Amino acid sequence: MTEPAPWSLRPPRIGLRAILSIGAGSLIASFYIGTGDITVATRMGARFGFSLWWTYLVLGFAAWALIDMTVRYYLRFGATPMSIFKEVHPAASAYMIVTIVVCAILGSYSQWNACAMVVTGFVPALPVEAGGAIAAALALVLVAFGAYARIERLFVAGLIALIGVFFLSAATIGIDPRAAARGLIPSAPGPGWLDLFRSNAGSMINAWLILIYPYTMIEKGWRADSLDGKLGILRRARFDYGWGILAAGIVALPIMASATAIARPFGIRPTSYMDFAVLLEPFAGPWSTHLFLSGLFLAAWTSGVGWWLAGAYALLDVYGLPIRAGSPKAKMIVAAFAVPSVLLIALRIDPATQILLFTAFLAIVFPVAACALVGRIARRDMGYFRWTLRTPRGIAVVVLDLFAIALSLYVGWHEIASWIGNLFGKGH
Amino acid sequence: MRAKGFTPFRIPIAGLLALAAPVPLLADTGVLQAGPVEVRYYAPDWIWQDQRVNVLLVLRSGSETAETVDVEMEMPEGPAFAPEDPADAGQGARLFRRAEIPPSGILRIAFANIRARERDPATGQPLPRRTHEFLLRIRAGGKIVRQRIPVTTIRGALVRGGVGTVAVSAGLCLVWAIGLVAILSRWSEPGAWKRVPPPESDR
Repeated sequence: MTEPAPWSLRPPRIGLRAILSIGAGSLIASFYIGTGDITVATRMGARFGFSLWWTYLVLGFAAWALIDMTVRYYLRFGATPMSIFKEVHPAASAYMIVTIVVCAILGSYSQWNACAMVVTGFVPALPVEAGGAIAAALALVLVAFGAYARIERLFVAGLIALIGVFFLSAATIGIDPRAAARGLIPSAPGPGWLDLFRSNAGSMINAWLILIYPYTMIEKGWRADSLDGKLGILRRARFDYGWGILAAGIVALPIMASATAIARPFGIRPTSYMDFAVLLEPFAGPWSTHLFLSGLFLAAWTSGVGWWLAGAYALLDVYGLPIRAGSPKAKMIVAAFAVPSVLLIALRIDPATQILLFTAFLAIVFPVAACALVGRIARRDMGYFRWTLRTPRGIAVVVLDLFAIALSLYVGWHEIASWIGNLFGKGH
Repeated sequence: MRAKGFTPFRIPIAGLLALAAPVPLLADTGVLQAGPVEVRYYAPDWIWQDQRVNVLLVLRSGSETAETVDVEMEMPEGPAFAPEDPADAGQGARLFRRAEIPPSGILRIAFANIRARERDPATGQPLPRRTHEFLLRIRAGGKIVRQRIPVTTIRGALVRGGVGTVAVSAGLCLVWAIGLVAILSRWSEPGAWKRVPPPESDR
């Protein structure tokens, strides 16, 4: 039987039940929404109000396209994301091993550091290191005793709570809906906006978390042999990670609103989320700060778990081991990540420097991963999912893929230049 | 039927819920009354060395006429803190603001970016970590109010930004990467890291 022309079939409709089962998308969202996003949204709001909200939309399209590439590859071959790099060259596989370890350690460290500052805020007598260790220990308990389904359920609840507390916090200040809506229209509000756009890109389309979605599909047994089945899964998955990316943009809104109302009138540019959290109190009362800090803890904690899990999945994948979050090997890998990520807290690296450094690292790493992805996806053996310009859906896929890769290359190239400049020129 | 009892999985959930407890936060806040002007102030009660203190004031006038307000913040004695904003850097140990609040208006004033020094600039010696006091004086409507703001300095970053941060972070990650590669190579088949595996459904 001959395969239909690429992107020529109408995908099956998804039911309400599928729409409401936003599990893995929430997992992705929880991974996405971490300290980097909160820092960037705070700085955007403090400096330009809502004017840069549109960047979440633009970067969201790119992030969606990149996740979509890994999912199409998985559906076509039943192969995992790391196989893409192995197919390109063994050096790419080795490169990914180092990247995975660095991302899992530094990514989770920055989240535990944020958790530590929140815990210290609630209990000032507690040393910062102890606060971070408590957050990491809670995460270890979750991974040690939670199978994938439990973790997913917790993360769905966590994401809803996260969005809720940030909106409640902002509600005590007030959100101007018209100004927020105007922020969705792309604009260049003033000097410095491009730096914030690039920081957001480093956070939103980072190299690593975009690769994790197929692992959630493996965990849930989302696979099919027939093309119809694959199209059904693709549609459901697209909706799912679309929701996850949208959630990152939604969370940014109340943070930007609070920063617009509070930091901007003073001309203060918060360098970290904690600067901002405490700024809330005199204006919106202690509850606003409590809510904001609780949201910050949730965001950082779920993201920290995400970095560990994503790292464990990927290392299992690279070494051809069974990909299960509940497997003893996965848990041992997570435990191995826990030690250095907590050790780094004791060094008390300036959180603002650390997060900027890490987003710069991600932005540098990312173009390599994106190039490998797009190189693999563009091959003709992708079957029904291959690139084509003969159907509107095919054109949309090609345009989005190319947009994502162009954006990642632009951001990566610029980050390399600025990173080297900061390190050897203006560094202190 | 299986009883639903305590499982260790619930520990992180309990930890997250505990955050909602309304305990005091790190901010030192309060309300002062200087004549017809109500002043809410915010300051941190601790700060990492080499980080910056922001003291913020929201002034609400209850007067039917415009009010002139003088706000002065006296820095702690010694070299522990240094204002970094250009407008404040030349003012010495007392930072001063004068502003006019419109009738029934609100005004926001900030003393921002006051760096908690780690070392004495004159001697290069590390500064002790202890509690320092800022003194806030607000004059409005012929009345003066004072507020002491204690701020404790604690140890800041061990690793400085730039090369130090990169070197330490990269070194630690490299050591762990080598260790993990050694362990994973034992767990898996030889050469698995570079061989494309069979589809997941076949594993």
